[in-house]
Amino acid sequence: MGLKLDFNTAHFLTLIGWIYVFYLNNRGLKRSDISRTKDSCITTIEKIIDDVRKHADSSESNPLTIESELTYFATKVEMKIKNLNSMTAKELISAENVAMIIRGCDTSELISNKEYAKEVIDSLADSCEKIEISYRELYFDSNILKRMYERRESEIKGLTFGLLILVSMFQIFEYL
Amino acid sequence: MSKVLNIVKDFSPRPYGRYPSDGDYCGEIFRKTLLAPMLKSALQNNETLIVNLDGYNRYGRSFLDEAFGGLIREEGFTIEQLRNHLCYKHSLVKSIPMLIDERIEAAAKSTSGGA
Repeated sequence: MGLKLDFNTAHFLTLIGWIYVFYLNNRGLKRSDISRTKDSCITTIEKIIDDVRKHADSSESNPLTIESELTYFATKVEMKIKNLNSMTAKELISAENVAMIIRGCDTSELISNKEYAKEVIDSLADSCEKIEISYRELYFDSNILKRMYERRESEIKGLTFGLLILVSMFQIFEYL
Repeated sequence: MSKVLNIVKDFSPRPYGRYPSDGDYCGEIFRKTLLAPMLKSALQNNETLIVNLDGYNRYGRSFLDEAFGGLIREEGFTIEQLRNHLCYKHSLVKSIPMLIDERIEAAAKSTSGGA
């Protein structure tokens, strides 16, 4: 015996199906976009690590030229990480702190002091790791409810508060 | 009351370097010709000097250190005077004002007068 649905129910179910397909498609596109931006941030930081290593090993490097190069990358990385954070609706890593490692780098010291260069490289490598770890925690390690709460914290709080007010109002009207 | 100093409009669209040997638009020239005189005037009139860094996103450490850190090291201002009468902002790149904070703190530590 087949299931018979009336015209309106069939249309409603079709609409729900399309909305679900649209949601899945949108979610997939957003995820791949976030993944691409995250990879791009890491690639840029890795490029800076290579540059710092190259300049630290070279005795012919000019501090001002290195500084110009690093400040360009500092701004680029800061913008990219800000984009990534706003796409994920969560601060995976502080964009300003990563940019500060690069912009605040003393380039004269970088050339003359191998230990200082190593510290800068380590800090940048830590930042790459932090991005990967935060990304993984956000999308793979935590459970779906925790993830949803973290990403939609303000909306959930607003909804809860709104519902509480509605319930309170109903209770007051019933009492009156 | 406050005065506004716009680096890009009032000094150079591409400030660069620490000393005049690095170029005409270096931190030392900026400090000596614009920043320090305007800050002195702001202090005398009990005003705040707002340094607007917008319009250029690649300020280098050497420029910022010489311009802002130099206020304490070379011009004799104290960190309290800078905290009370100097304000700097960049609406897009927050690490720039952060670096200025760091360089001012470092300059204050390196000189006994700024403590």
